[in-house]
Amino acid sequence: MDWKQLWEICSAPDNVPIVLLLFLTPFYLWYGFREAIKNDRLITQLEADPALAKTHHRRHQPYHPAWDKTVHVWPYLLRIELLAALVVTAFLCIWAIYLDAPLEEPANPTLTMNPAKAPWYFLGLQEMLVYFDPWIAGVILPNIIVVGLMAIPYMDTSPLGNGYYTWKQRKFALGGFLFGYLVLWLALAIVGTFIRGPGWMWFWPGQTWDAHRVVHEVNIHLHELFGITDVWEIAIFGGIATLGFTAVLGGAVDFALRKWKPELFRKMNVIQYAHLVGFLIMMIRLPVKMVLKLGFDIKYVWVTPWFNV
Amino acid sequence: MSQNDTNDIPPDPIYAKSLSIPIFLASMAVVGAVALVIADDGWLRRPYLSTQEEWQEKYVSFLEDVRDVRQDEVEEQLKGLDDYKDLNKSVSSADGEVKNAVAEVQRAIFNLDSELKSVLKAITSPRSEISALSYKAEHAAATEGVTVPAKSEGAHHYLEEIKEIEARSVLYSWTERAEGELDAGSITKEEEAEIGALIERMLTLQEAKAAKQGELAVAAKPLTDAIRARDGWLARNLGNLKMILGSADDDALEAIANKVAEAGVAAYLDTATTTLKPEQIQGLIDATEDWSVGDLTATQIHIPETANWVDRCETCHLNARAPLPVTAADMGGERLFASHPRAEELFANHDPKRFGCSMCHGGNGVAVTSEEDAHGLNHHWLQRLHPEANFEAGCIQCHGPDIYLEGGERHNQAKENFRHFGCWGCHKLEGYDVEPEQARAVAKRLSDIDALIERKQMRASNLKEALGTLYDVDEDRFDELEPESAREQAALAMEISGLHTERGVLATKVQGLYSEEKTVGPNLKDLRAKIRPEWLTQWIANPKHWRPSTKMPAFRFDEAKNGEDVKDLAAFVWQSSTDVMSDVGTYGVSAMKTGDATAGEELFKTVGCLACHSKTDGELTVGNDFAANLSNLGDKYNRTLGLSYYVRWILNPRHRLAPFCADCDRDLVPDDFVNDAKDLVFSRETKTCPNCGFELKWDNPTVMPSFRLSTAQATNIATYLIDQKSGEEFEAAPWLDEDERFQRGRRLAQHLGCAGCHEISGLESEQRIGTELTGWGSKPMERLDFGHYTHDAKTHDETGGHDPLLDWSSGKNGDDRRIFEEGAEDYVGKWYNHRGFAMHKLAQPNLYDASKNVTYATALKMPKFNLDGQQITDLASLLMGSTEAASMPDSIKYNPVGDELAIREGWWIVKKYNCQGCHQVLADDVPFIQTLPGWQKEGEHENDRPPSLVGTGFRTRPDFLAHFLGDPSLGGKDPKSLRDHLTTRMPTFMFTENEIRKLVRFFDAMAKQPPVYQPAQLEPLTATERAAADQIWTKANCLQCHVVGDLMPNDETKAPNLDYAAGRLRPEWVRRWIENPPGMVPGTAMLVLFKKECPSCQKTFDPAAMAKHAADSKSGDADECPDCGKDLSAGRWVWNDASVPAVNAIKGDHIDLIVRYLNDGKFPAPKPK
Repeated sequence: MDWKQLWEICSAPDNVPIVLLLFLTPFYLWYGFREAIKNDRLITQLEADPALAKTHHRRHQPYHPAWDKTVHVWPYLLRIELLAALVVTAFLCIWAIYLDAPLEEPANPTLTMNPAKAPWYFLGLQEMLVYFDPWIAGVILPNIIVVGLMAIPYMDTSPLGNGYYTWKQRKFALGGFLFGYLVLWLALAIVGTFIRGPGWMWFWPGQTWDAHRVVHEVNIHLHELFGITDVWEIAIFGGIATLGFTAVLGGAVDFALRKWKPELFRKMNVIQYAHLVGFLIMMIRLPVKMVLKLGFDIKYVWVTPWFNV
Repeated sequence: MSQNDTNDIPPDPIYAKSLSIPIFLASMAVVGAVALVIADDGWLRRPYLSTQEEWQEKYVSFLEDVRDVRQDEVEEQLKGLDDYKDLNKSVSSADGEVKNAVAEVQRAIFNLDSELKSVLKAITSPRSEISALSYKAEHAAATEGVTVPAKSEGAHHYLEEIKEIEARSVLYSWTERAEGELDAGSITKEEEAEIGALIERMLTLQEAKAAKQGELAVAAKPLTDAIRARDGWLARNLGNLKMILGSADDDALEAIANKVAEAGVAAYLDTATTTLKPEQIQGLIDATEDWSVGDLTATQIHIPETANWVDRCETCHLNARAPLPVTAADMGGERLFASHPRAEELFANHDPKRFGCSMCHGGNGVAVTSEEDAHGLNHHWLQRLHPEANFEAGCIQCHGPDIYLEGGERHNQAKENFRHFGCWGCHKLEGYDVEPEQARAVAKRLSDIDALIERKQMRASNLKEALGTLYDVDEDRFDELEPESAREQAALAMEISGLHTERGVLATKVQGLYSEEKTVGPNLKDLRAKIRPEWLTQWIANPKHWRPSTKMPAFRFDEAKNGEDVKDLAAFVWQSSTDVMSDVGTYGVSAMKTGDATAGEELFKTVGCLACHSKTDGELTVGNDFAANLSNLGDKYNRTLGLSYYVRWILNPRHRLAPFCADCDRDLVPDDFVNDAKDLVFSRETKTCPNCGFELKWDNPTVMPSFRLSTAQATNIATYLIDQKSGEEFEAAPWLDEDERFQRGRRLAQHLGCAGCHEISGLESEQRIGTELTGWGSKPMERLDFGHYTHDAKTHDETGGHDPLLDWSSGKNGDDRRIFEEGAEDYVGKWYNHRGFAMHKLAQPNLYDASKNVTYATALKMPKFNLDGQQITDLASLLMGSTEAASMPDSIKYNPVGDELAIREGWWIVKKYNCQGCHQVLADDVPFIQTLPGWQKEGEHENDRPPSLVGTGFRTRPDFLAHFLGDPSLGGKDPKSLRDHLTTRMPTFMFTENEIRKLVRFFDAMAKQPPVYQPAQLEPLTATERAAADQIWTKANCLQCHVVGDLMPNDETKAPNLDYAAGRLRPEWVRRWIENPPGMVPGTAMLVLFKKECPSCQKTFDPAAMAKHAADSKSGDADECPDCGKDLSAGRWVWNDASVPAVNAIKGDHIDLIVRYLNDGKFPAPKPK
């Protein structure tokens, strides 16, 4: 176990945020779920007692007839935000003093650093480059992420959960988001930061990052398993495989939604529903491709002279 | 909040809960953070603030020590010196002289002053009253508009009052001194007078007092002058300890030295800055005390013209440029505050204002936040501070093309190592071994020209032929085309002739370059003539076994081959060498009889061999390691041809056995000359190849010169050398003639790069096999392959990464450990840097193959040189300093022109041919030959010592020098050259014209002579003058020591042949030489023959007397007549012997006469001795 190596990675000033995330994410997950479960119990209670539901509106300070149902933003919210701002300001000042910008030598165009890593918040994207063509991992997927995040309010119009933690009422929405954030973003960033060493090779935590290490990596394309050699046949085969898989996956998602979330299908119009299914397909395809690559050494499914998928 | 009115309802916690305390605490945290920001910026990131305060304190206390020592201790000592006592005595005598007169004047002044004071006291109040009344009167008059107050009505009254006051009578008294002694007593006087009169009296007294004071100055002048002389002397000498010591007698000197040493500033005694005066030191103290701590602009060097270079090193190294040398001991052991130890010598050419600090030293000149940052030790900074043992790396950055720098001992050694060990055989490095590439380029151009000439000739003949044909078929068309064609033919002829001219120039050039090319090791084409087959294989396997001192390194062979590959290699070099047996007569080697070994030994030890070669007898090795150790040649020489080969080699080492043609890419054999239409013969006279017409290479790539020995002498030396044997037996080597080994051996020779150091048949155009080292110091660390030691090198001394060479503490690698322990203070710790890489690689060239799964073919090839720690460190400096040209701003690079360029180029030749083995080139050189046993002491081999070359450029005419360097036997007349009496002799180096030109310019430049020499036109001698000069010549008996004409030298003749004086020496120098030979070369046998005549008193003085007088006199003027003190410089030089009338009749300068006589060169026929 090379503790020095591990310490070097963890203590690099540009890795401090991701190390903090390692601790803060579980904490807030735990906190959020704890609150959500308490609320869910209350929700169950109120659903069972309509009379109480009419008057009860706070979990921590239960109903009192003389109390206001709503309070003003100023000062009751803003003073809390001020407090948070003060704490964060002091924290950032101290951080800035004790951790200097990690400057390195002047860039040398003839010498690339190894490993060459993006800032921590882009490491998820960089990790995706292992699994996809650069134009997919670097252009299409980031755009879909941004567009998808922007599209959420238009697809999810449910007011449930506004202002309080709940799991029971928003299982699908929260589950989808947590899958996207924890698995597709944070986990990839963690892999990129702690696991990927020189040559973007896989080093377990504590393994020495040896720039001279050589590994034997097999990369095959799906069509090679079927012995297809002609370039057009390869393109057509890949197209059928990719589009067919997408169609099958789309059907499965649609089936699952109708079975377990029938109200979604009822409430949404066709554009909302189509986008929802589309984004879900994209989210599922990424880990599928990762499994293909890491588990079966399959680099590309669809190889054409212009692009690869 | 009406909801909360009733008491039984609890208040809503959202309203009721206060956040004051958390917000207050958070605000305090922000305030604290801001305070931390300020502290961080102001102090925490400025560690130099405390450094500067410490410096201030220590430097002031040091300076005060210096000042106090100067003013108290030294002043006291100074007052004990005779000079001071003399001056003090004249003060007392002057005091005695003027005492009475001064006392009298002083008495008068006292009396006048005393009365004056009394008068002033009496009139002070009335005068003030009068002034007030005057004002009132004036004011009244002015108010009335009256210009004269007396006419004013209002003023009248006041004027009356003034008159009343003036008429008032007062009594005043004073004390006067009685005449005579000072304490003769005093007289009290009393007077009464009107105020008006007293005012007049005051003015009179004042004038009288001023007059008396003037008298006092005049009277005391002898005394004040004496005091001024004494105090001035003291002040001057206080500021110049050196001067005090110079003028002090021994006891006083010792006393001062002791006092100063006790005070802890002994450094002052031997430094130039003792010229600082006490007030200057006080100025330094004041400036240091007023120093504004933390002002970065005060300690920053900014060089706008050099890419805005900024160095702030002096923020901490505050004394780097101190006006007086400060050692670490002076500053309480703090090295940080010592001044630059070689400031005086280095700053003269490298002004820190123009060069900064980090340009030479490396490091990060801008950073001041920590020592690590400033010294560039952060691993991201590209220019680390050079460790102390490798300071010279800084010099090499700009002085790459110099092989010698004055005062740069380690630099010179680094460059010399690289040359000596032949690193350049495998690695290209700026400056080294440039000839082969130039030769290749010129040869390429020659081939191109040949092809071009052929094409043009073809075109010309085609044209001619075409026109001829055209004439036959179409005469009209012929007439039409003929003129144009004629023009073209003429133009072609011109071009062809131009190309021929260029070809001629290039052919000469390529011949020169062929001759200048050298290799480190011997030419292996000679093996079969020189070497015994049995000896060869074991030598290749491990050269250090048979000859521990050889510079041939130990190569690693494939262990799996079990010695067979060594045999392959031996077989290849053996079979590829010239087959001398095939045609014995042609190659000039044959079986021959041995000579006289005893005579050979005598000659070997005296003719100059040991200036380059060494020889081991038993335990004792004598001689230079510039060239091979020549012991035990009896073990290795070829039993049939070896003796003949060595004789041939000694007679003319530069003659190859067979010429090499670069175009045919092989050595020519006698058969090549058979059936040759051009009647070329197999001889050095044949310059071009009979097959292809290309320039032949006849020169062996060796620097060994020819000593112009006779065949018998050479045979004696060779016999002596092959007589020595170690007695070691070698097994017979039948494999040398096995054909199947040839190709395998050739591949191995190519693999190991044998052709880098040796010339090997078939491998003449092999390229260097090693990495180019020019710019190595700028290579990114990532490009240096530490192999499996990368991690250890990065983490050594931190978490268990280790240094493999430190582990090999015992056994065979004990020496390696020493290298890394000595001078390790800069080094221990991480060795992941250029220095660590180079040092480890040089100590153990295959270190970075450790743990690697490599085959023999892919393993590192560099052989092991067994370098010692100093050599490794120096070579590491050379590599660290060999940075990319672009890493240094052009404005500071050393790009010499003129004399400096000539010196730079000349040093390469001086070092290449080891001129310093015999000659003194710089004034502080000791030529190697003078360090041989039996040569070291003054007087030993006095007459065998080769002449010093210091000042050669001033002494010798450049045309003669060029001629002499080309042929030291001066036309073959005299094999022993210019100095018949020396047993050591100047050998013939067979310099090329290019080398001769560079050497002549080098010596001119070293002696600061202009590049063009204009010999002075001397007046021809008249008959009278000639007769007089003949007299001097005969009477002074020049021929006792000098040689002239055909006169045979004998034991007495120990001086150069004067027949050469005219063409050889510069008259300016001859004149200076004859004036004072011991003054120019102390201890010379040349006599002082002339004296200087004083133009005033007509007395004559020899140079020694003049020098003694100059040393004794206070003025130190060498041109002062010791007798009458007048100026000697206009005087003439006269011959010592005043008894010869013919000479006395010459009224002009006698040295001038002799100079012209020598220049004329017609000496009376010498009497046979």
